[in-house]
Amino acid sequence: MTYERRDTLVLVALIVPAVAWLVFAQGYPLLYSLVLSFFNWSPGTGLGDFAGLSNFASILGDERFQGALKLSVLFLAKVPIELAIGFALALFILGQTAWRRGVRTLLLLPMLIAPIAVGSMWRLLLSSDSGLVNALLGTVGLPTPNWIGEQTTAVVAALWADSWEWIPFSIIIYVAALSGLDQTLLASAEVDGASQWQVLRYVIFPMTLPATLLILVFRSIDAFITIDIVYSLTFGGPGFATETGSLYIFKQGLRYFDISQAAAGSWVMLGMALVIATIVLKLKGQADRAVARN
Amino acid sequence: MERRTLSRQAFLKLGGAGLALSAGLPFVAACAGDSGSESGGLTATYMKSGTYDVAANDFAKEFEKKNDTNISIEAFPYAALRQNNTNAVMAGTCDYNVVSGSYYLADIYDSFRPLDDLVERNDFSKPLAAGLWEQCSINNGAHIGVPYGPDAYALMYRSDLWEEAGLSWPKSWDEFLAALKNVRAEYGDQGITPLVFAAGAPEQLPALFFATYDGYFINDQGKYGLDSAKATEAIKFAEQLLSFAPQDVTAISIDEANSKFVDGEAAVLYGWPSFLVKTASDPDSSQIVGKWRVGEMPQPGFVWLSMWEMYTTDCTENVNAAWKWMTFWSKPENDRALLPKYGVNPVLGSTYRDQQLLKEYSHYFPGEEKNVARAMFPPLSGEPQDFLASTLGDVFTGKSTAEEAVRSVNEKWTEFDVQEPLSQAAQRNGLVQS
Repeated sequence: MTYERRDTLVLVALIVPAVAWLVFAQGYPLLYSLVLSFFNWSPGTGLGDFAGLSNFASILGDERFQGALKLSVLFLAKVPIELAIGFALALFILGQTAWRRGVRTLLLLPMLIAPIAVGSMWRLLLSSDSGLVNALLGTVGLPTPNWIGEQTTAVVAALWADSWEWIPFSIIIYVAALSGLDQTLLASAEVDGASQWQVLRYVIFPMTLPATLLILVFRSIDAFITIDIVYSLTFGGPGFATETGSLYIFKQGLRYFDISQAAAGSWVMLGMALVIATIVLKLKGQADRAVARN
Repeated sequence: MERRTLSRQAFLKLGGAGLALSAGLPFVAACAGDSGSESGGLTATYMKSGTYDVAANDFAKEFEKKNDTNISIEAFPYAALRQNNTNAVMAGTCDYNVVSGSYYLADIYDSFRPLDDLVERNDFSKPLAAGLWEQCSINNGAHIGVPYGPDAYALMYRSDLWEEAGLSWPKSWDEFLAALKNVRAEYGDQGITPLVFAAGAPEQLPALFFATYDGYFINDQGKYGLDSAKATEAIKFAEQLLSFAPQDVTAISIDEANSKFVDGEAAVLYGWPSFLVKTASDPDSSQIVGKWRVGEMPQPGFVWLSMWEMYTTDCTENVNAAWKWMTFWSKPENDRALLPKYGVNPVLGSTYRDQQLLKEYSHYFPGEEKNVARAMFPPLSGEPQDFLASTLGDVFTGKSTAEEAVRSVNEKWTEFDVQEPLSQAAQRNGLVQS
C-alpha cells in the first residue's frame, strides 16, 4: 500500500479529536480566565458585573503586586549564572569515559525532584539550627546566617534552591551542543595557535550560542513564573520578601478567592513573559542565522 | 507529492492508536471526576493531621455499625482541605455532605444548611464547654456549624523550672516579661531559651500581635481597622517578647518550636497546645513529661481561638444522617476519648471536669478550658489576616517599624469588605469600634 494524500487525511482525522481535546483543555481555561479578568467574580454571584479594566488597574496599583513582580524579575537575573555554571560543568563532564558518564547522571538528578520537594528539602538543609549547610559553614569557621529567617538571605536561599534544581537543564543542553561541535573547526583553531581561552571565546561560545539562547528562553520564562520553590521554602516570607508574582496570584485566586484579580494578574504576567520570550527568540533567530552562515 | 511506502498493517496500527487516544482522553477525564456522593451514603472532610482524620475514620466504623448509613472520610492537608471544600461547594458538585472548616469559609456560608431546628430539637448546645457555642459560625442569624477540636493559642511553660525559680504564673503581660527575665538569668547558661515561638511560620505571626492587643478589628465606618495606639503598643511588646526567643526565631517552624520545648530546650512555648499534648506526654520522645503546664493567658489581650466546625452542605439530602454524624463526635464516650486517644480537645464541659481525665491531664485541662472560654476568632477574612501576618513579618525582620506597620495595615484594610457573618461575630464579641 502506498502512502497517499487520502491516507494523510485519514490520519489527520484520527488525530484531530485528541488535539481538539488538548486545545479545549488548555485553550478554554485560558480564554475563560481572560473573561474573568473583565468581570467581578465572587463565590456567591458567579461571573458578576462587568468590571472593565478595573481589575487590571487594581492589581497594577497594588504595591504588594508591584513588589512581587520585582522579585519575579529578580529571578531572571540568576539565569545567566545558571548558564555559566551549566556551561562550565558541561565542559567538565564532556566525554564518554565511565566516570564522566557517572558524574553526568549524578549532576542531572536534581532536575528529577519535584520543585515542591526541592523547596522542602532546602528548608531543612538551610535551617539555622539543625541544617547541614550551617553545620558545614560553622565547622570551617564561616558565618552561619539565619537563611530563611532574614529578608535578604531568604531571597538568596530561594534563588539558590531554584538554580540548584535547574542547572542540570543547562548541562543537558550544553552537553548536546558541545558534543555536536564541528571538531575540524576546533582542530583548525589549535593548529593556528589559538590558546584554550581563545578557542573557547572565538569558536566554542559562538557555536553554542543557539543552545545558550534556547536555555535562556526556557529558563527565563520558568524563573519569571517561579512559585513552587518559594511556596515550600518560605511561603513568601519573611514578611513579603520572597513573594513572587505567581505566589501573589495564587494567594489572590485560591486562598482569598478573588478570582478576577488573580485572572487579571495572570494576564499581566503572561504579557510580560511573552515580551521576554519574544526578545530572546529574536536573538536566537539571529544567532541561528549567524551560525548557519559560518 | 512524494510517495512513501507504508504497509497496510502499519497504517492500521497507527490509525488505531490515534483513534484509541482520541476516544480514551475524554473517558479518562470523565472517570477522574468520580465522587463519593455516588456511594449513597455521606462523605465528610477532615484535615489530614494524624489526629482529626484518624478520629474520624475510627468513629466512622463505629457510626456505620450503629446507624444504617455509610460514611466515607476524605482527609486532606489544611491548604488542600480548604481548597477542596470551597471548590466542591462553589462548583455545586455536592461531593461532600459534611465539611470541616472555620470562619475562613465565610465566603460560602450561604451554602451550608442552618442547624438551629436540629440544635433545639436535640438540646445540643447546653452540654458544650463554656464559650464554644457562642463562637460557632452564625449565618443570617442561624447557627450553621457543630464544633469540634477547639484550641486556644497559649503559653505552655516548664512548671518545674518555674517552681525552682520561685516564680508564680503571671496574671499580666508585664509580669510575664519580668518572669522571662528571671528565667533567662537562672537558666540562660544551661542552653534553655526563655521563650520559643514559630515565627518562621508566617500565618502564626498574628498570635504575637493578638497576645496583648485588646482593641477593635472593625472601625466605626464598618471597615477593617485597628486602634492605632493599642496596635502599635502590641507590636512593640511582641518585639520585646521575641528578644527572649532564639536568635533564629524568624526561621523556626511550628514543628521546630514544639520540638525545642519537648526536648527541654525552652522554658515557654507560645503555640497551639493541641499540637503538642500527645508528643509532650509521650515518655519515649519527651524530656518534659510531668514538667509542663498550659498557663492561663495573661491580661489584657486577645486569645486566638482555633475551632473546627462541621457544616452540612445544603445539597445534602440525608440531613438527619449528617446531623447524627456531626453530633456523634460529641457523644460523651467519644468526646472523652478524643484527647487521650487522638490528641484532639473535647467540646463537652463534663469532659473537662471528668475526674479521671483531670488527674491525667491536670497540667493541661484547667489552663486550656479557661483559655478556650475566653478565646475568640479574629473577625478577619483571608487577605486582611495574611496582610497583617506578612506586615508583622516585615517588622520582626527589621524591614519596618511598629508605627509603619499599623499605618500600612490600616491603609490596606480599607480596601477589604467585611463579610456580614464576620461583622456580626465581631459585634457579638465586642471587636467593633464604639
